[in-house]
Amino acid sequence: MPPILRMVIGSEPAKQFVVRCECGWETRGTVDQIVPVLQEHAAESHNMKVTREQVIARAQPI
Amino acid sequence: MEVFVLRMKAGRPELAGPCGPDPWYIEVAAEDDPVVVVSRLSRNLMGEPILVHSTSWRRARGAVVLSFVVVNSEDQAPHLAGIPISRVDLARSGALSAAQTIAAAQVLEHGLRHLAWLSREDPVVMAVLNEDWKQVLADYRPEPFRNLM
Repeated sequence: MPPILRMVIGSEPAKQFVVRCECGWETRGTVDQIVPVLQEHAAESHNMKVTREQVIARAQPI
Repeated sequence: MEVFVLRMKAGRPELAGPCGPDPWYIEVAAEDDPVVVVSRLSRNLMGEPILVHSTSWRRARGAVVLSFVVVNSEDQAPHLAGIPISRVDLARSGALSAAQTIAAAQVLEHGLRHLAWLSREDPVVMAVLNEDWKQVLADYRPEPFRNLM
């Protein structure tokens, strides 16, 4: 089997997470998807700066 | 900061903020002016407010929480669902002791009483609130800004 095909077959789909804000707002997706979306919500709605680590700490696997 | 966004609908005030029935929490840095921050975020999310005013403060959530009321116009931010406001008793402290608990509805009740006070005392507030608001606030016993503890 060519190496590239082996790599595709062997890769797992990215894990999905949900992260909820205290205000009830939530977003779902991979870590790379939810981090910027939550950071934008935190800044625009709550004037908060949230780090990637803080988002990951709040995220729950779906 | 804890913000209660108010909007009049058919002669009745309702809560219509970005967090639905819950208070809207906003963080403020030490160097920021709280009124400026609340005004800016309100404007960005819902359009220009009619009035932004701080009505009380208390220690909660590991910090000093400033409570604000934001008054929007009747047709503002229609995408935000409105929840009618009910009257509740205030959380009263003793002469030398704090209230045991303070619910958000009690902070809002005090905020509306504070607004009632302003609507009779403050020329700016008198000028920006319409007759519907003055009529509603006439039912609230006026109270000045205070520490809800």
